[in-house]
Amino acid sequence: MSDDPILLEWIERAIGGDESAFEEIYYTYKDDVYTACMRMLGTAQEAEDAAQDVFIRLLRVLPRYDHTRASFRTWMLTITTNYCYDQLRKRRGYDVSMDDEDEPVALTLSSSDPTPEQVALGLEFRDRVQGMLNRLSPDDRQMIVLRYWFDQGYEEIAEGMEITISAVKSRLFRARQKLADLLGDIALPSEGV
Amino acid sequence: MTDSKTQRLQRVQEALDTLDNAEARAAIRSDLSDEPETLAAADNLERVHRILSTAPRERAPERLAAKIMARVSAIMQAQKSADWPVPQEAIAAAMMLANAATLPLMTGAAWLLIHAAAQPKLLETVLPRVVAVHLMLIEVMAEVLRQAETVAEDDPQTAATILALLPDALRAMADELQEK
Repeated sequence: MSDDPILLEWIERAIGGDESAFEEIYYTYKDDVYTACMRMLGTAQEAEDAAQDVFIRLLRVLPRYDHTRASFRTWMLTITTNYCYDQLRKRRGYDVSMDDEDEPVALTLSSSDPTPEQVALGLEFRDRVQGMLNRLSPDDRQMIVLRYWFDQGYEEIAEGMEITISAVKSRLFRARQKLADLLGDIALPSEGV
Repeated sequence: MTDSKTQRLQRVQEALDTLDNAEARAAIRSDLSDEPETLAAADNLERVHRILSTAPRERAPERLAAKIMARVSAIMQAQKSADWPVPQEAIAAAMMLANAATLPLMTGAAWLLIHAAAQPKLLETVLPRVVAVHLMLIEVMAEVLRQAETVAEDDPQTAATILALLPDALRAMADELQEK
């Protein structure tokens, strides 16, 4: 794993107490951390609170970062998703209610045209994807978030979460099966709807 | 679901994750053409994959930066304060003053011992008292140091002040003992 030398310099300076260096790290990864928190926890308010706590935790554990073992982004996302995982475990029942557990989520892919209608559709799409994620267990949610929003491969996820590659594959499979069940009758634009 | 169906679907999953080539994926799907149920399940997996691959990322709200950097700043300032060393000179001065404050007490103790030596019977009374006074002094000094350590992280200046008060505390104790 190799990080940008500039990033390594920021890390070094931040460890030495340089606020501006930590700010650089923040601005580089804020969207990653916030997206992971949002996808894991499901609401903007919780994501915001979690992102704050994650960056503060990051500040404290920064001296422990070993760039020879994992890229900074992978390491940071592992911290982020582990934090959110803990929050979800504390919450226990996550967002699944017995009434709507098996109810399919109607979902339509919007096109990328930036018309107001399609912006609204995009938001709706995002909310519905979030709705599906909210019904996954914390384990499965963490897998899906790392795989899709951060494009991590089996090996990277396995290293970050300290599990085997076969465990990653089987958890991903379980998560996708669950999501497939939740999709219900969906129509993609490419299929003519 | 039979094992073989699960295994085939897992192959589909691996193809989704690792094969960018649509033709290779199509080849795997064609293997399933005689199993409509498995093929339908594979289609659903692919649909999930496409939807998740298209799902948008979030942008962190602008206000988050101010909140986080304010907390980061507070933590870094606290760390800097904690790292602020109590100057070695201050510690040395405090110890010298502590010695100076205890000197009369030590002199008194030595005087008592010398005179008690001439009358060995007195040693039985004097020696335990001298030892007790010294133990008390050590205990007081240790307690003051503990207090200074406790506040040092949050408020190093107060810690330094506590250390500076050590000689006064010892002198007050000596006065008290003298009166008794």
